[in-house]
Amino acid sequence: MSEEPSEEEVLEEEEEQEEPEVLLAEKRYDEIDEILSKTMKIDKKREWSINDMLDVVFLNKRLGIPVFIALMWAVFQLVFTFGAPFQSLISDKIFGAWLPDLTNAVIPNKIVLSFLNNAVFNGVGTVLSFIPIIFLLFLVLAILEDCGYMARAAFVMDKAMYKLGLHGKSFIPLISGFGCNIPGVMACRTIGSEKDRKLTILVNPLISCGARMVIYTFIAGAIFPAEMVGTVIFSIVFLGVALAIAMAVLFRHTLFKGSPSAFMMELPRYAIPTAKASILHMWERGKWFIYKAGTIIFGIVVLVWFLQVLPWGPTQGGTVIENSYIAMIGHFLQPSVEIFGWDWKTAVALFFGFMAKETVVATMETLGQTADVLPTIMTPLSAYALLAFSLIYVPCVACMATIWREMSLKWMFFAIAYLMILAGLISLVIIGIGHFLLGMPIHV
Amino acid sequence: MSDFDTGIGKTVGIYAIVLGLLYIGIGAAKIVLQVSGIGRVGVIPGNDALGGLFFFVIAATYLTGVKGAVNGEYRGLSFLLGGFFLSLVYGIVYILIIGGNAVSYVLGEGDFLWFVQFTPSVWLFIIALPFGYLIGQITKDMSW
Repeated sequence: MSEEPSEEEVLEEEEEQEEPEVLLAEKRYDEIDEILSKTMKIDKKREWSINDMLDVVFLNKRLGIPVFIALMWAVFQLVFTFGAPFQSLISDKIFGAWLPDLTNAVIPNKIVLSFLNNAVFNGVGTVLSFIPIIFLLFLVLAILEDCGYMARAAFVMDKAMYKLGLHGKSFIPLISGFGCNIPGVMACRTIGSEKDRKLTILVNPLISCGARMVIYTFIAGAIFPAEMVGTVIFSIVFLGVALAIAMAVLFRHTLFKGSPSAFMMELPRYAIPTAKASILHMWERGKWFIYKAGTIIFGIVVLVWFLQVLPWGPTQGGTVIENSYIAMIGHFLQPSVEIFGWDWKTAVALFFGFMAKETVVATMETLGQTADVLPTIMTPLSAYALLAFSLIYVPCVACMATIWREMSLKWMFFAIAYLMILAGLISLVIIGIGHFLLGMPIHV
Repeated sequence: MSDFDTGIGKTVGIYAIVLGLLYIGIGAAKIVLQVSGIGRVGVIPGNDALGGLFFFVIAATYLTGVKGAVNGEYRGLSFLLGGFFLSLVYGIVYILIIGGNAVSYVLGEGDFLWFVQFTPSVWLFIIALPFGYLIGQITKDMSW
């Protein structure tokens, strides 16, 4: 008959199993507690601070994650519902009425007018109209970071992620991915374990960056009722987070076998963020958006416009778009997206989205798929599938280059392949559930 | 031994029960109205089932702390503070959205009907304001 191990033996065994860095941290804090108890007198009322009280709720093992999700939903409601009128002011009034009216009155040349109206005002103008929404999102995220809440969010998510076999530090690069996937991928350098680092890099593109928010806002804003836009976008963003976790678990059990290493972080005290710091953080994250609109997006919009008006004769100067070079490309790509209920113009837009995600919107606008036209060519079901596809299919070329640099060319192609397959699969599942189970139409 | 006066603890505890039940009731109504396809009824929107679900989270936060607060424990009061914080965030978000919609209306886009704008998040926040004051009174000497 075997003897039951004593409580002390069990504790000793557990201690041996713990990682050295965890033990070191525990010993350090025990030491700190001992010194403090000898040197400080703590008033009963002072034992509790507002910080402690907030942590009781935000770090609670049952309420922590639901409260985090509830707060993020409120953030999306604020950004996409409050920001929408300001976006439509720039889109409909400035780029949709005032500037075209001015140029029509001043410029007589039809080619120049076509270029300005279709490429500049519709294409680049629409992307620029999202400045209020993108900057508001970055401002709110900056406030959440600066007040100390995001560190708590990482802490409560860590517990859940660790149970799934993920490295706790993985959550921080994933959070960074909300601004832009490139710093998110680069932030993985902080992860010591090579397997954990590679795993986190591979799932980072599934986090919705600011550029994707432009696509979500444009399509969801055009198709869904105004009061539902925030919820639709929130669901897509969380679909990305869920897929990132699911893929990480899959990779953990196939490509990167092993258990994750321990994660330790010091939680900062809560603080009221200063306006200056939050605005600076917002600007740091958001300035690339304006920069890209003036460079890569403008360049692609010019290319799309040329492909749309050439050959000049058959298209009658861009009037008969079906005879253009871009229609040829679109009709070649269309069979691959037809099942989702998308037309050739959407296929072309997704194709150019490889360069920069905002280009999807710029291309759609340049090709005449404006917010007013979208409800006549796309059902809510096919639009939702498009949102999911835009979330998952390959990130922009700059992010791909970063994955190449941080991992290797082989892993970059692996990321492209798995993301394309996953995008197709998830979009098919959405279409399948919506059409065959709920009876929703795919085509208008 | 209690951390603070149990008299005021009972007051905030009962107030938290009322707020928690209101959030549960309105949250359930939001879900039922959307799932059943009935749509808007008075000031309760008919297409906000997910928002209704998050009302349950706010309610759970309030109700978790009731027992502790009634016993005058700071730990219980923490949940009440957290619940009020969530009410505050949701209230401010929807007040800002009213502002955005007002801008839109002034620019000649969309309607601006008060009963549509005055969502449950706003009026529940207003109902919770005196509660926030009471919590503030209990914690006023507490450091950050």
